This record gives sequence, C-alpha cells and structure tokens, in this order.
Amino acid sequence: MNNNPIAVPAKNDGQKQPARNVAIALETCVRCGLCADSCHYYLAKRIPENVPAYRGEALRRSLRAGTKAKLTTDSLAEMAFASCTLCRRCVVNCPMGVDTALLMQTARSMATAAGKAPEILVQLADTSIDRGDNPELFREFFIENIKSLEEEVRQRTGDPTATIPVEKKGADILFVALSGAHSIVPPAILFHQAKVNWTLSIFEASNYGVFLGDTERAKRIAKRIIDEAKRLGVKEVVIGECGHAYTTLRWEAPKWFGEAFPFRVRSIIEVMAEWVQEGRLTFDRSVNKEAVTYHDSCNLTRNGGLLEEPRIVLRAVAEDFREMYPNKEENYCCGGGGGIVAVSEWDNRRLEAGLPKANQIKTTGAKIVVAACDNCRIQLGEISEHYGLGVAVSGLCELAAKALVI
Amino acid sequence: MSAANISLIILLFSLLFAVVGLAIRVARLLAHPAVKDPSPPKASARKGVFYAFTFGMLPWKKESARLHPLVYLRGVLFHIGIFTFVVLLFVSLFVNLSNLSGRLAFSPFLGLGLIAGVTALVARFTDRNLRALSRPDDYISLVLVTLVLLSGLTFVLNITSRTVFWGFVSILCLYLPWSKIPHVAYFFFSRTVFGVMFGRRGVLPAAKTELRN
Repeated sequence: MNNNPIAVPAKNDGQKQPARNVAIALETCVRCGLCADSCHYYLAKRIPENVPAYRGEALRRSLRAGTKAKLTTDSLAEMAFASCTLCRRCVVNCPMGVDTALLMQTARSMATAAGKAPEILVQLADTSIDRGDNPELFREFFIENIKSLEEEVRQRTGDPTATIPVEKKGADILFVALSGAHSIVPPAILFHQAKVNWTLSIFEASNYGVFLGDTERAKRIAKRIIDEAKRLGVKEVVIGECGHAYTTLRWEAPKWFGEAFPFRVRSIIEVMAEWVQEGRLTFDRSVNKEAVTYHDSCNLTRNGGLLEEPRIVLRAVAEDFREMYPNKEENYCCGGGGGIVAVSEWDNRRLEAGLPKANQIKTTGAKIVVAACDNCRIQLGEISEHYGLGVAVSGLCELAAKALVI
Repeated sequence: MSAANISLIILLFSLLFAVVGLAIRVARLLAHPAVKDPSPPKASARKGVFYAFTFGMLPWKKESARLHPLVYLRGVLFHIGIFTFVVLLFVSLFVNLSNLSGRLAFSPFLGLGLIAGVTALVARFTDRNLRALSRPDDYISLVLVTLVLLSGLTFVLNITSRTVFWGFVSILCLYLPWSKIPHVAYFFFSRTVFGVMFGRRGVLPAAKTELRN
C-alpha cells in the first residue's frame, strides 16, 4: 500500500512508478472512441485531439517512448492542463471504466515535475504553502478584515451580537471558506441562524497543488487545515462552496496521509441540506421568485457524491427550480474546472468549451444559475456574457441566506 | 505424425503461451502498489462494484451507448462471437464434431461476430477519431480475431477443416501477450476500481438519474 494516488518510488531503484489505479487506467483502454461525446471539449470542437481516449493515448505514447522522448513536452502539458478539466464525465461513460482523468492528473504531475505547469497555478499553490508556514504574517490582518464582515452579518441578521468567530477552541465546526466576503458572509448568516458553535479557519479551502497533480504541495496545503482542526479540537470541518476543496479534503487527502482524520469532513451543502431536513432553518421561497437552475459542479457531484443535497436546499429556498439536463453524475462540466479558470492564456479555449453548458442553461429558461463552486461561478458568469445568456450567477448559500426567515 | 496431430501440438503450445503471457501481464499490473483509501465511505463500495458489472453495463445507463446504439450492438455481437469461438475451440478439442447439425448451432453467433468484426475494422479505417486513436495493434488484433471468427464459421459450415481453425487460433494466441486483448482480464480490474470509487462516494448507483426532460 502507498499514499500517493499517482506515483510512488519503486522498492528497488527508487524510481517512481505509477500506482496501481494509474497502471490499470493506462493498460485498459481499447481505443473504442466512445468517450468522445462525453467530453465538453469535444462537443464544442469535434476534433480527434478532444477525444478523451486520445489524451490518454498521448500519455501512453510518452511513457512508452521513455527517456528517448521528452516525457513532458509542452504539448503534453498543455493537453493535460488546458484540454481536460478532470471532470470524469468520460469515466462514467467509458464501457471499460477507464479513469482518463487520473491519467491527465498523472500527466499534470509529470509536467509540474518538469517545470512545464502554468506558472500561475504554481504561484497560487506556493502562496498557500507560505501562508501555512507563516500564519503570523497575516493573522492580524485577516482578523481585522473579518471584523468588517461581521458588520454585514449583524445588519443582515438584525442581531447586534452576531459574530464570525476565528480560531475558536472548542468549536464544533471549523468552517473553511474561500478568499472573499461572498464565501464567508452568507454561511456566517446561516451558521448564526442555525445556532451552531462554529469558527472560521484562517486558511482558504482551495488547494492548487491538486490541480498541479503535485501530491507533495497538495499535502502541505491540506495539512494547514488538518493541523488547525486538530489544534482547535473541532468535531467537523465544513468546506465552503468549492468543488475541488471539498473533494480534496473529503476524498483525496486521507489517501495522502494514510489515515482517516479525527474529525468529520463535509461540504456546507450537506450541512445546509441536513438543516433543511431537520427544519432547523425557515425559508421564505417567495423571496427567490425567479426561475433558478442548478449547475452540478463536477467535483461536488461526480467526484464528490453530492447529488441530492443541493436539490434539497434549492427546493426549500427557491420558488421555481428547474433542472438542466443531463444532470447529476451525467452533468456537463462548465469548462472552468481543473484550475483552468486561473490561467488567462487559455481563456478562449475555456469559453469555447463552455458551449454545451451554455446550451443547457439556455434550454432551462432560468434567470439565475446556482453553482456551489467558485471556479464554476466564474466560468458561468463569463459564458453567460460570452454566449449572451443574460443569466445571473449565484452561490447556493447566498440564495439560501436571502430566503432565510430571520 | 499426422497434420492433425501437429496442428494440435502447435495449438496446445500456443494456448499455453497465451495463458502464461496473459498471467505475466496481469502479474505485472498487480505489482504496481495499491493506494490505500482510508476516507470514510459515504455509501457502499460493494454496491458500486455490483452496479459496475451489472446495471452499469446496460446500454441505457451509459450515454456512450445511448448515443451510439449500433456501435454498442456491434461490440456485444463481436464479443458474443469471441465467446462462441472459445467454446467451439474447446469443444473441438474434446468432441468429434462430425455431426454437421450440432456444429451449425455455432454459426449464427460466429457469423454475427464476423460481421461485427468486419464493420469494426471498416470503422477503424474510415472514422477520423478512430484512425487518430488507433495503434497498429488495434488493427492487428481486430484482423486476427476476425480471421479466427471467419475460420470458425467456415469450419462449422464444413467449408474448411478444423486444422485451419486451430491454425488461426494458434496465431492469435501467439500474438495475444503483446496485444490489447488482455483487456479481457484488465476489464475486471478497471470496472472494480470504477465501482469502488463511485460506489463509496455515493455517486453510483445513482438514486434517480434525470437524463432527459
């Protein structure tokens, strides 16, 4: 057994070799090409290079060529980072069950090791690591900022005693948000109304080490939150509206560390769904009158298993909720996953790949698209503008906070 | 030594060669270190694996099959043809198939498999995506299996002899360890990995998948 889902050093020569799951995905593809229509890149531009199996085959060719060829050429790196969002739609639809996303993660890992990864992703990952190494450099500034957000929470809840506790020992829940007020204020309102003993993490949930396929970096970024949760003695870590951050801490990080954590990991979406089902919060659906549709983030849904939870919340907080089709584990990626939304040089390709999602949204006739993932929301806003959809994009917590009866 | 005995010896050697070659490839695959997954499951890995090998293989459960029913059907018929020639091979080793009516029972499956093989080969050459994806092995494996189906069909129709059938099977077996045909074994590993991952995460089997409005 090992704790790296991509590659581990072999016993005898120290050279890294693929983990068994990767080896199985490498060996099993029969190149039937049936995965083509599963991929949003292919649906947007029907060329062989956009067939998932083609990408997997490109990696195999590189590996077969060994040291004679450049294992991580620019084209392989570009293919892994710019032509695959690791959404796993092709995996669900593969007759053999080949995990092409895992292969692209492997290609990303190789590209990162060879210095071919997009610089911005490396910088974002390293910034997170620096924050973990030196929290004292930003803690005071962070707490000051949170104080200003508390004012908004007090105004919206009408409760002058409402707070956003930070690093509170003995809290039941450690909430890990993203950078920005939009990720902190609505959940804070919901936590306050649900009368939960919670505290806010000083770290952000996102983990760009995962996008790089760099397990060492990803581990260091995740460890900041794990250590904080252990230090504060929380029972549960709740991840804000971020697809990859949830999947990372819930499903991937335990593999890296080789152990289950001494706390539960859930998404804010699961927590909200539980509150709705328990009747812990009261909502006035008529506040959200406009037609709303929901975009399933690939990381939350296909990779994370949150299929019904967001729908439980949406039906409670919105009057006119309309599904887009296909949805849940068959949903189309919006085109903004896998970190590509941060890499501006690939903006055109990203917007082009958003075509299937744009068509889905248009068909619903909805005025608001809800997504429980920040990267998806950025992409959805941009494809709305690019394809003239004229829809507003909202987070699920924000929509719920609006409808909350206080 | 008669030609029949020589062909039998070659066949047995080839079969042994294929089995050993396949075993080595599987052993090499399993020599890769497994990843321990200590994350607490949301749902059942067992249910996921069961789904992966049963309902998850149904054509309406996969968009790839729903969008391409003829390709799905072609694949099913091709593999039924393969299963049939394997049965025919073992029957021909132990039973005297001089009774033509008994042999004819194999012919529809071999015939449909042959048609599927030929059309798959045509698709490999004509479909732009498949051409770009294909390695030489994709063509060689397909040609060899299709030839075995043809030789099996002509054998049961009493057009060619058992020796010819055994000869093509022998060639296929000698090539098998270097081909993509070991996917017959890898399939089970891959679908198991698929089922465990999506099963324990509660993704599959999905409670209510809404595909169309």
